[in-house]
Amino acid sequence: MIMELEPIGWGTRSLEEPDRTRLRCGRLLVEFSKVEDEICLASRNLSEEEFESLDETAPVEWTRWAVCTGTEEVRIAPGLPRLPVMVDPEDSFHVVPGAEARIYVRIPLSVVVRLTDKFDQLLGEFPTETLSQTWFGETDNGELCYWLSSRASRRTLDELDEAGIQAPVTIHNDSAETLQVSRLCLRVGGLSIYRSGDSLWTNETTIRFQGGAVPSKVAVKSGPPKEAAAAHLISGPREAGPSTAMARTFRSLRRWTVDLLDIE
Amino acid sequence: MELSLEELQNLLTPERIESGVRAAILLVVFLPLALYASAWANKRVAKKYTAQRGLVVGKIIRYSGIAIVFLLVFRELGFSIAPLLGAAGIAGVALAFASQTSVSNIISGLFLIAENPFSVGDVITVGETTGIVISIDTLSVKMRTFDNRFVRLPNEMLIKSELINVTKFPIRRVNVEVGVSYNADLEKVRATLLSVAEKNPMCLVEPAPLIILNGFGDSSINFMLGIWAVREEYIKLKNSIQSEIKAAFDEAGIEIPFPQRVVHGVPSPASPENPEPTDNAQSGSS
Repeated sequence: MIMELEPIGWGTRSLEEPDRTRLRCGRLLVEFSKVEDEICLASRNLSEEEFESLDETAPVEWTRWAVCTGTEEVRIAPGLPRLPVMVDPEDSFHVVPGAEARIYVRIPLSVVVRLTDKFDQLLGEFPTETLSQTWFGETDNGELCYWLSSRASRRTLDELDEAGIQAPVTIHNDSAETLQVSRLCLRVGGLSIYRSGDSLWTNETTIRFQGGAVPSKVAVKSGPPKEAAAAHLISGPREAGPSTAMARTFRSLRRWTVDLLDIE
Repeated sequence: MELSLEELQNLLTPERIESGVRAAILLVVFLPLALYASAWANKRVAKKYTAQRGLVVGKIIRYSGIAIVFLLVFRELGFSIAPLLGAAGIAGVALAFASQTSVSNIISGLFLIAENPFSVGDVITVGETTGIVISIDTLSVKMRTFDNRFVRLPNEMLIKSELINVTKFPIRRVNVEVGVSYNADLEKVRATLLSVAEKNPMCLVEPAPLIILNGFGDSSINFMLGIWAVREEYIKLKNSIQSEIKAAFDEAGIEIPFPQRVVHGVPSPASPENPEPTDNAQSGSS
């Protein structure tokens, strides 16, 4: 039997027994079920062909949560990846000294399911895409990130899919050298998500490049970006922290040092 | 032995009582103070540096404090410290000769702490033994092997031997050796290996996967695929990538050969049982 799927809707959702709810967001299928005082959740990442031939009798690996009596609803919200993302622009570009460039990066969202109780209990976080991991830094010291190939468009992403969040980034080159943007580490933990119609936005990140090995000054502006000034907040930042920080952000196309190539 | 009242009066002079009280105060006040200072220093140093350093600093303060308090108590009770120190020096020399190994281990332990080649919780390999460090003590380092055996390694041995800290750095390279048939298209092999690495989410995109043609073996052309993973996922990646390579090679029609030997039959000389030598026979066995 072919399954009936609903598009994802952000906000609270009531769970009625014994219905099984199936929500789709991009390539992600999230299923809910409530039986007495238990909420069951499951998720799968599927291809388009697999969605077309989904069988509702197929076994599902549920994650079961015993909840308080009277729990009738959950809150569904979009989330950002749990690690910083390393943006790999399809075509690297240069920013001349003194200039600024505004780019728009598509970040694949996660579907975050929480209880609506006072504890805001997290039930599950399901990424719509499985991102590869990458390392930002040296082999003895660095930061684990998700790898994100992106167009890093200079214009807003008008045809953004439902599983994508648009992150505006402004890069200022405050140094006296030309900045080649070939890798960009975007720390998404401090970003919030805003909704404007059907599109989702993060707040704006401003990066001030200081030159070579000097860490860049990274600032996260509060509130929605100017492109979606009327957007309203639907998810707060994952990590509380200062809105301005010094952090390594750029990496050139320089390959890893030769000692990595040696084999034992 | 019974003391007469007169003898007792001679013994308990006001000066002696005063000294006794001072000695008691030293014991009651300064001994706990030394122990408290040791615990405090242990906590502070552990917070700022490592638990191991905290432990060492705490022990140094504790034993030095106890020694000083007892020396002061002896002085208050009228004992001369100089002969005691002299005796302690002689005893120390004798003890040092008798316990050379232990002293060597203690000094090696101090070097280990100063050099800090590993910490509690690290996975290290010493000789043939690999395990998780569970404690770094004055005389030895204790390890738990992965098959749950307890191993005690004297500190001196760790200073003298080659030691590998497997978990020192946050990322590690998984080296996968793979041989392909001499008939295989080598560019296709490279592309397939890269594709397998790209599809495995545990394989880091950067540092980029490395493919090296290691050489020509007896039965195969040997490649080495070097892929990077965070140290927590090293084993998972090592396990998963090998089965994925096998599946990808099967799908791409790339043969992973096994040792083969071509045997050429040599004609035997003519004999009554074998009147005419046969043609050269060729057979293969796997």
